[in-house]
Amino acid sequence: MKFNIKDADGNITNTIIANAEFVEANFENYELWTDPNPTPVEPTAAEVGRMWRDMELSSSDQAAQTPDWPNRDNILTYRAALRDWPAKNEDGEYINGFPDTRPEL
Amino acid sequence: MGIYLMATLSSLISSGGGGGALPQIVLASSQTWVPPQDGNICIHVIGAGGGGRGGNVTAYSGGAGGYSKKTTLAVTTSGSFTVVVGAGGNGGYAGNNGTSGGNSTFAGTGLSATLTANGGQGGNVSGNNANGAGGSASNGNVNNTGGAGHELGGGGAVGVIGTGNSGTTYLSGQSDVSATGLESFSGYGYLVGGVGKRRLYQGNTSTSYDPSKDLHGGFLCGGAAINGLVNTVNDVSAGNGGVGGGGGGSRAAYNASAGFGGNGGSGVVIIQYLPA
Repeated sequence: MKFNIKDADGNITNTIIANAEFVEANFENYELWTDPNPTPVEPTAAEVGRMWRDMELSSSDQAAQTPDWPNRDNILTYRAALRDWPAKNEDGEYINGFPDTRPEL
Repeated sequence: MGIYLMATLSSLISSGGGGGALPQIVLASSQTWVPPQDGNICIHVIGAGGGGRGGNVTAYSGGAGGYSKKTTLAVTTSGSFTVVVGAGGNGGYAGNNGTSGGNSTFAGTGLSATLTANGGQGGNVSGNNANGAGGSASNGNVNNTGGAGHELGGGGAVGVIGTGNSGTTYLSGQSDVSATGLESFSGYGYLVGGVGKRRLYQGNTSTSYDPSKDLHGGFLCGGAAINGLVNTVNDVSAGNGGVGGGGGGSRAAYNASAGFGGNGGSGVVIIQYLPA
């Protein structure tokens, strides 16, 4: 366990690893330490997929807006596939491989 | 409760025809310690590392704990010592500073002054010292300040020979007694540290982020920082410091709410019985 050790005014002077018996025997003012941080949240596969799609669209904006950009026709097709990804059927289920199968250029 | 380990080196020497193996005792929690046998001991006191700052324009990392060494002290089974082990500083989250590591101390029979190894400072954005400073030490034969945290590299390392190493641009602080894979060979008044870790550059697509990569520092070393440039994942977490090492800072430039700084490594007191 971790404990905050305090002075008489309640200011934290140290944070130590100890059991309750040791702290009680050696310090007058103390409190059990608590973690102020939330638990890290891992993204879902769908969230990662959407962020990847947004990045791909963003990074190909200039190509789409420049008429003589190399390979532009394929890039436009790719962007259309990105915009259609993901899609759902009538039952609300993902189709076209989302999020495991990503469109390719 | 203490953790008792027999040093590998001690065992090897003992098996080669010497006397009984001399114990190496690792105290990872505060306690009252009574020597299990008479003899001369070497005492290593290591303060805890500071935590890294979480999620900001750059990755401010934590400083390492100080290091105090008493080269030799005669002890008997009637002696008694009060051991305090500092807890590692907490890594910050979402733009918050890391907290300082706790101080470790060793006091008792035969010692005229308390061996003290202070904790490293957490990564922060106050004043000019955005990276955590290393903790100081006092009252030993050797008293070294811990390495400071490094912007983008990672947490500082505990200094056994001199002032602890800070990180570099791409690497967290590495122990000045580093020998990869040989950490268990500490013994007879000497420590062998681990290695720092290379910081993780998240890159600009979600596919380049590998959350399984080990960013945690080795024994006495700092944890690696993480440099996330784009909003590709919800959370990025820097590496924790090894024993006494500072935690890595976390940078999530376009998603400042998503970075976790690494925790500082906890302090420790290591007692090594010495040959007569």
